[in-house]
Parts: sequence; structure tokens; C-alpha cells
Amino acid sequence: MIQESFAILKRNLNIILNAKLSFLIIFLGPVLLMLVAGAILQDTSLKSLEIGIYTSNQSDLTEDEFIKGFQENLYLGGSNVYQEASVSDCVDKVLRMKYHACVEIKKSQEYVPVENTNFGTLDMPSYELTTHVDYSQTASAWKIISAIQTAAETKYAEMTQERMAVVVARIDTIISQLESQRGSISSARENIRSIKTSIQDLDAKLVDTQNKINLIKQEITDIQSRLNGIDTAYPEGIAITDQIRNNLLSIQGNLSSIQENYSLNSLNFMSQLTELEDDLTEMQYNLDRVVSDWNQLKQTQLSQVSRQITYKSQSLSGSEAYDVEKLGFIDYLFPTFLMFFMVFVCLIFPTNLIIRERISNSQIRNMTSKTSGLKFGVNNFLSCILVIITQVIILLLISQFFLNADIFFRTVSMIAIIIVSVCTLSLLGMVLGYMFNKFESAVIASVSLSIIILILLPGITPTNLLPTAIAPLVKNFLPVIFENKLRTLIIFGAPIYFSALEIVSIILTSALLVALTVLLYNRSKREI
Amino acid sequence: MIAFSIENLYKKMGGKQILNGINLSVEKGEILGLVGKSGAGKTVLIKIIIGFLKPDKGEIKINSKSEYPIGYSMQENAIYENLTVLQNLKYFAAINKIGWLTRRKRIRELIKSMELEEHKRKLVKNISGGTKKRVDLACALLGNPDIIVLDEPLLGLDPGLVDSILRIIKRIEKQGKTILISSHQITELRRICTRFVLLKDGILYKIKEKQLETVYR
Repeated sequence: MIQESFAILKRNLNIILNAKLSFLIIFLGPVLLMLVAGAILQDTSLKSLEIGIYTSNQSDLTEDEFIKGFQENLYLGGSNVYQEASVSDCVDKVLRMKYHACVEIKKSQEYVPVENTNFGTLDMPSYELTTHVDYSQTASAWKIISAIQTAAETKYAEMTQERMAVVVARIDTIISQLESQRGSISSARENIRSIKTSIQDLDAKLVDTQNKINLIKQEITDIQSRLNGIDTAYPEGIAITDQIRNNLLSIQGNLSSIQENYSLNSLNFMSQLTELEDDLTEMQYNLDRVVSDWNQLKQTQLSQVSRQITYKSQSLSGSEAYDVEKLGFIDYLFPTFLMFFMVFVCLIFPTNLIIRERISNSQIRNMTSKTSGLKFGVNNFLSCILVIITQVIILLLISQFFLNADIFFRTVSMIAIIIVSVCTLSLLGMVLGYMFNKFESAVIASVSLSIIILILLPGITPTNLLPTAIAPLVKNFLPVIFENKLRTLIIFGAPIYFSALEIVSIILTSALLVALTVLLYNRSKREI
Repeated sequence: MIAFSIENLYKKMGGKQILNGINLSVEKGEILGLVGKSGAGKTVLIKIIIGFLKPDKGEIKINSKSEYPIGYSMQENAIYENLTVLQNLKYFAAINKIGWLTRRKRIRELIKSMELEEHKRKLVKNISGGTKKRVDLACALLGNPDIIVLDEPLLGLDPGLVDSILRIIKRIEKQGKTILISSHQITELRRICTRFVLLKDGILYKIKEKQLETVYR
């Protein structure tokens, strides 16, 4: 049992090892695949971003502190920033892959700057940032939005910090003004204490005065009784009169004493009260200033000092007649899926067709027939195109039932791109078919290449996440160009533009593939 | 009258000199048997004669006014398994640019002469080995060639089918065709061939019928 199993295993391995190219492709295929995937996907951070900025007031782009700073932050973050004259131009350039995103900045219309306060003029309007980004490139869309928000947040945080510093300085002034009132309050307290002492003295003196007045009363009573005696019994009134005089003098002295005490205390008390009044007046004035400053501080609309940016991100829209709002996940994924289908079929079907023909016994009749090799090549190519286009049409028709996107919105452009894609990719498949002499080698090569292309498709790995050295090459790689065009066309209903570089790339690659097909066909003819 | 001649033919493949100065003249109407051990270069010589391989040196002169002077049937049938008999014939006729009317007439004749009537709409993969060989022969005869080259036409066929193929070859010969036939089956060759040549060490030797036995010893 084990012996047979080992023999079968050994046989299969020997078959592989004996065919050198098969061996190479079977073992080097995964190595190459992982090397390519690793080199591409090891660092998927955002590289250089091209960002368009539009704001309705163009002068804000150079004058508004926030917008200027926002641009500066984007630039520092490794982006190139371009100012656009209209939002449609800006969005259009995103659709044409010139920009990664377009940021539309709206300044709050209700905003009025607070001027001439004790804090100066506070100019902190609120902003609405709308990022127009390609949602279909899901792997990079949120990174782009996040990069834009970070740039805006950073600038706004700076501005908020500056404004808060101004407010804090003003609060410090108010506090120091309040601090300065401590002296006045202490002085007032001293005066109050002094008044209290004076009042206590006055109380004591009033008691004394009461006693003296009582004494005067007694003396007056005494005088009265003495005067009564004089009136009735004694004629010798002179002595009594003298006594009365003495009593009266005493009363006079006592009254004078009361008068003196009263006069002294009253003056002292009045003076202290005046001082206290002055202190309180000063305190009131200072408090009025504090209240005034606080009122002014309130007027600065503290809400404006805090963060006032609203963020929105929205999918691109290439046509007003096309409603992108209704698109779902499958719609965004569909162009990548369609391209992947075409890549897979275009590589595997022609490779299969060519290699099968080449290893077929009947190939000898084809080679010795009166039909030229060119005709065989062209007609094999046309057969592939016919079959694949039919498959793609079926796929598109069925897709209609699952997609919200109107895939036939720009039918002519879409068919044109599909035909060009199928033609060039089928040529690549044919090249593989002529390159390998063994069926399994050709199939493994075509599957490996399909997977590499799948990894490179922008729907899977957006170009801006690729290493800087590879990105320009990948960007102008045919399947990537076609997937980009299909995506903007199917998802956003945008018209198709090809840059000069893309056209050159398509022409050169097609020419190269045709040349390779002819070259490899001739080589394969010699080998047979 | 010479149907075709080979002059001073050389061919080297994979570093080995396969053909080392081959000279041969074949008379019109004769059936020439080509023998030789496996790996002697018989198939290479045949592929050069039919124009599939180019010789390093030497030339093949064909004396024919036909538009399609040579027809051939290789060791492995050169027909499409996933096409029907009729589709195969139509396809090979088309790529050989045989006119539409001629093509129809010729295919009809060949289906009859090769006894393929009941199989003509069957996929080749579903017919027997002998029938496949007859389809392959029919393909070889599509252009009504003067010279027919057959490489191991009897290989893998049971005796009944061998007889059927030999009968067809004889019928072709009667039409005045020149036939070069390569085979290891000496007994069968003896039944149809008029002359024999032996390919050994890249050189072609004329041999007599009675010497055939010694070739494979």
C-alpha cells in the first residue's frame, strides 16, 4: 500500500522534475507571486496624494487662516494641493484619476466676526468640508478622508489654541483686577473695625453721660427742695442762692463734659465712615469693571473658539443624470469583479486554446496547410475575443438584476473599453500559450499572472497605497488603466478620458504583445 | 516516371545527425515500404517530405501538377477528437483552400470510399481506432494528392482493421497514386509494397523483400 503510494507520488514528482519549465513555474510561481504581493502590499500607507481644493470664495484660498493652514498641513503630510476654480472641475479630475480627492470647503454663511471687544477681533468661522472621493477604492477612500480630516483638525486645533490663549490672557487680567481689590477690602475691614471700637467707646461714654444726667437730675431735685425751703422759711436767701449757683455751675461743668465727649466721638466716627464709603466706592467701581469684562468675554461667543468644522464625504458623481446615492457595496465592487473576470478568462482561455492546439496531433495538418500562420494567429485571437465577449455580455446582462448602478448608462464607452481590454489581455494569454510547451506550465503561468494582476487592480490595491517606486508603473499597466476607466464609467457614469501616457502605454503594450505573439509563434513552429 | 526524389538530404536534431545524406527516387504508382528500427529517423524523413520540417541540407523534388501534391497520415491521427468526422473533413478542406464545390464533392467521395457514411456525424472521440485512421486517411486525400505518405498506418489496429486499411491503400494505389509507407509490420508491408528501403544510421539502403526479416533482429 505504502509502496504503491510512494511509487505514484514519485512518478508524479519525476514527471514534474523532468519538464524543466514546468518545474520552474510550479515552484517559482508561488515564490514570484508572494514576492510581488509582498513588495506591493507590505506598506499600504498612503503615499503622495494629489488633492484638489475648491472654495466658493477664491480669495479665501490665500487669505483665510484656516484654509491656508489646511493646505499647508496637507502639503506637509506629503500631498500635492491644487486650487480649483469650480467644484465640477475638481471632481472631474478625481474621476480622471488626476486627483485622489477633491475637498470642497464652505465657510459658514451665518458667521459674523466679533469685533472691538476687550479681546480684540475674534475671527473663528465654522467650516463645512466635503471630501469627494472614489468610494469604489475602498482600501484607500477612508485613508484619504482621514488624511484630509487630520490636516483640517490640526489647523483648527492650532487656531483654537491661539484663541484660547487670548481668552485666558483676558481672564488673567480680570483675576489680577480682582486681586487688586484685596487692598481696598482690607482697608474697608480696618475701617469697620475702627468704627466698631468707636461705637463701643461711644456706648461707654453714653452710659457715663446717663449717669451724669441722673446726677444733674438729683442735683436739680436738691435745688428744687432747697429753693422751696428758701421760699417758705428763710429770709436769709443769699446763702441759699450761692449754693444754687454752685449747683448750677456743677451742672454746667457736667454738661460741658458731655458736650465735649459727644463732639470728639462724632467727628471721629464721621471721618471713619467717609473712609469706608470711599473704599466701598472704589470696590464697586472695580467690580463694575470685572462685570463689564466678563460681559465682553461672553460677547466673544465662546462657542466659536471651540472646534466648528463639519465633515462630509461623498462619492464621486460624474453626471448629473446619474444617481450615485443609490449605489451599494456590490456596485462599487462590480467593475473590479468584471475586470478580474476578464483578466482571468482572457489569460486562461487563449492560453488553453493555443497550448492545446500546439500540443494537438492535428497541429501538423494546420502547419502544413495552405493557410498562413498569421491567419491562424488572427483567427485564434478572434475566436477568443468572440467567446470572451459573449461571456462578458452574459455577465453584464445578468448583473443588471443585482446592481443598483446603471451599467448601460454609457454603453458605447463601456463596450469600447471591454473590447480593448479583452483584445489586449487575450493577446497576453496567447503569448503565454506560445511561450510554454507543456499544458500544465502554461495553465499555472496564466493562473499566477491572473492572481498578480488581481492584486494590482485598483479595486483591490489602490495605486496610491503602492510603494512609490512601483506605483507609476502599475498606474500605467493595462489592466489597471482599464479597471480605472470601467470603474469611473460604471459607478459614476463619467465620460472616459485617456491621458497621453495611458494612450502611449496601451499602444506600446499592444504592439509589444503582437510582436511577442509573432515571435513566439515562429519559435514554436520551429520547435515542432 | 519519377513521382518524387530526395537528393543528398541531411538533418541534425538535438545534437544528433538523424539523416546523413539521403538519396531516393520513387516511381509514380509504386508503393514504397520504408523500414528501420525505432529512432532510425523514419518519422523525421517523412516530416521533411511532407514539408513540416526543413532539412539542413539537400532537397526534395516533386514531380506533380496537382495543387496538393502530397497527402499524409501520421502515426498519431492528425484529426480533432472533439469534432465530428464531417467537421474534421470540412475544416481541413477549408484551411487547404479547396474550393467550396470541389470540397463538397470530394468529401462526399471520400466518405463513401473510406466507408465513413454511418460515422460522419459522430464525434471522432466516439469512433473506433480503425475508423479514426480512415478519417485521417480521408483528410490526407482531401486535396486528391499524387503522393501519399503514411507513417505507421497500421499501428495499434487489430487484424480486421489492418485488412480494411490495406484494402483502402490498395484502392488508392489503383488510382495511380504513389505511396510511401513506413511501418514495423513486415508481414503487412509485404502484402502491399512493391519496393523497400531501409533507414539505418541516417543513410537509406535499398533492400529486397527477403531481407526484411533481418532488419528487426
